[in-house]
Amino acid sequence: MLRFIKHNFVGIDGATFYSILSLFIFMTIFIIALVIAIKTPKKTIDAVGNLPLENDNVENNNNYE
Amino acid sequence: MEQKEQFYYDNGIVRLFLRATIFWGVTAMTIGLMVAFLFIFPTYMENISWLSFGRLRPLHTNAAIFAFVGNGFMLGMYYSTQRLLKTRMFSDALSRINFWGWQLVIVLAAITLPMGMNSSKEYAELEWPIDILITLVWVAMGANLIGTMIKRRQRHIYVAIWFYISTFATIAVLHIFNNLELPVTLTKSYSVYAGVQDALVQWWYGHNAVAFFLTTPMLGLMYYFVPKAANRPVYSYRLSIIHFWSLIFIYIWAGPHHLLYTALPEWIQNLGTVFSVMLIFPSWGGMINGLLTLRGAWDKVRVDPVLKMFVVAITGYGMATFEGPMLAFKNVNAIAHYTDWIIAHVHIGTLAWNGFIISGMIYWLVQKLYKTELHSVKMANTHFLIGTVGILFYSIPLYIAGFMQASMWKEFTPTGTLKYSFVDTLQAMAPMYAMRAFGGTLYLTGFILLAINVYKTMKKGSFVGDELAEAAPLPVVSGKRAANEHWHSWLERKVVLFTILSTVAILIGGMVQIVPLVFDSSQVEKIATVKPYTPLELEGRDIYIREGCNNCHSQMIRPFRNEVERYGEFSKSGEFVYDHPFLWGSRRTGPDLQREGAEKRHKDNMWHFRHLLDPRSIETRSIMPSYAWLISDDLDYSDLEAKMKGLRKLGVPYTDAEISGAKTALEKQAAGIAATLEADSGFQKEFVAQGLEVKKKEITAVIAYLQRLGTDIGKSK
Ligand code: HEC
Repeated sequence: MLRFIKHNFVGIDGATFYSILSLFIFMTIFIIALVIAIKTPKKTIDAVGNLPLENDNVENNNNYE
Repeated sequence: MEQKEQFYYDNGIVRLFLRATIFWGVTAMTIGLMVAFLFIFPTYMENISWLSFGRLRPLHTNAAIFAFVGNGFMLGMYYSTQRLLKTRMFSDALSRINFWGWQLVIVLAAITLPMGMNSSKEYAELEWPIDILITLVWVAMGANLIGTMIKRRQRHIYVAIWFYISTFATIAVLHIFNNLELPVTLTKSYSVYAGVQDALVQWWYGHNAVAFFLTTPMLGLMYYFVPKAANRPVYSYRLSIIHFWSLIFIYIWAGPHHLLYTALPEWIQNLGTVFSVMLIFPSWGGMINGLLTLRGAWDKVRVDPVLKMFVVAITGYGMATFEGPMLAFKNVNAIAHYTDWIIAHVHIGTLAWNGFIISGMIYWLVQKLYKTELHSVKMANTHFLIGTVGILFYSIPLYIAGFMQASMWKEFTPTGTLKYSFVDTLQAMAPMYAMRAFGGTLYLTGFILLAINVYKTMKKGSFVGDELAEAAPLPVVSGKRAANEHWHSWLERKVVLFTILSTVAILIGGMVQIVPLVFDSSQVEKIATVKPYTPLELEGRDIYIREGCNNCHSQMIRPFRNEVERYGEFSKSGEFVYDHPFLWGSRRTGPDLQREGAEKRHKDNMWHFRHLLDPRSIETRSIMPSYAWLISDDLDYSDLEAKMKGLRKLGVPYTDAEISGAKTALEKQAAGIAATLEADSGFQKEFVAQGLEVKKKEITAVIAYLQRLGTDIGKSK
């Protein structure tokens, strides 16, 4: 369908460059993050994963739990 | 054992946001319901300009997104951040500035939107002074959040906080770029972008606002409150890290799927589709992670309303994020775009995912804050039940409506003419709209039960404003990597920096995608016969924006046989080069108006006059509001020169002579339109004899604008 309106756009200079550049930015940071996630030791992962469950206050006057 | 420090969590700020969330939740849903009823009883608020559909719809969306979900996010964020980082918020003052500033923004929105002060860009309708206020409040929130991270007593930063931080950083950038506008007066501005460019920036914003205002903050809440309420850690913390990073990257890239089949370069559209499909993976990763957190706790889920709501919320997240990528396929999009399907889709997101995660969180929080049990678990279960049924009644009929619209719009008779008029299709939707309003009513009723329940719980409990807690301070370590330290634990220490920097990097990545089109206007082919609007048409266009006609009418004809047959020649990007802002619209409750002045759609001035005065006098089945005030109110064109000068700065080629002669030209054109109306003897009797001086009225400007629409390209033939 786009052939109907394609003529509106003369070749986009640098389009390929721009898309490759941003894909590159995307991939690099993503891979760094992935490696960190995988390489972090299980001990740390468990510790961080349990953070929300730590006791919230000293008085422990919380009778809901 | 290190020496522990004692400190107090600030529950006061949490309570403020709790009240605000409930109050604005009820408000936003009530306005939504008022709007839904307009589809069934189009005249029940007739002739109250500030309650007409085009002005209420932005109020509803803004209230739901920024007032309800926004306050809900801040509520959970202020509670969980302090606990996760084992410290009071960085600054009580900033917390209060955040709270009161945000409420001020909402109140200003609630006043200005019904008054018709809006920039027309969806979910960014607020005018420039409020935009600036939003920026300040948002920065106060971000500074508070980052300050708290810096003074934390907890080395590791839990993934919920990452979601909060990326919410802060991305929304800041999106908000600023999408709202770049040139002020003309205190309450009127023009987008610096025009036409295709403006559309691109708007939907880059619109899409990412859904991602970073309605999704990432809610995921942060999910990662904290689901484990809290189930009393077990998240299923896989590693998965949550991957969820976070892949989500924010891919989201940024998927924006152009809002503009498929429009006059946008094909490579950008295709890229948008690819990334949209990829989006399924992180989204479902997150959904599975959330649901599996409840593994082994299903017995609890059956009885606990909090967990039940979380389950429906997360399931809703899964549904909406499955559907989203599907909608990004061009052939699906061709069906769904402009129809009620989209309305159903977004309400799965808001009612199920956002609404239920916030409701569940509220039920859990109020017990913590008030040190007591819920007033009535039964009532909460009732809320859950009618809320869920409400969601089904809301969405299923609208999905059906969407399909019906799409198929009726494009159905031809054997002789090759369109089978249904636009109003035929509208009429067929009536039962669906009634069911939708019923579903909305159920959902709101459920939420009111929550309000009552929470109020009663507050009454019987005792609120602790400053909650005592203790934790050891963090040992001071140098920012540099210690000799024996592993590189990734060093990086983890730097997680604040890392998160902020990479969010910014992603944003740049996303912007790069749209930069070529936004800043290189040579890509939009100029059409010699397309000329700037005349002064009267310009004023008419501004009234069109004020009344929010674009909430019901699109101005973008797609290159499909049925659309060309119904509306005329499909849209060319070069036709919009003087459109600050663009007015393509996103939902066709009424017919497309891009060629309203041209061959197929053209009607005489009298038709428009009568139609705007009372649409049902021409088409009995119409649900369009009547705009009687356009006929009683004088056109105020005192800012005309300032407007034209402003537009000239943005590249619209008005000459000095045109600007200095603008008022005269406007009066002349208005008098011309008035003359055509007054030539009619019926009009003489009915209006002129009653003393109506139509040439001075706003309606002439609107008619002038409508008659101009779509006519420019015809002149080249
Ligand atoms: C609630 C949604 C809604 C709003 C808001 C709305 N319209 Fe409509 N409009 C419709 C519907 C539905 C129709 C088709 C039925 C009819 O002709 O009245 C329509 C039809 C029209 C038509 C006739 C189109 C044609 O060619 O048949 C024009 C012109 C029009 N509207 C202009 C406007 C203007 C100008 C505004 C703002 C001042 C506006 N509309 C606001 C729903 C709306």
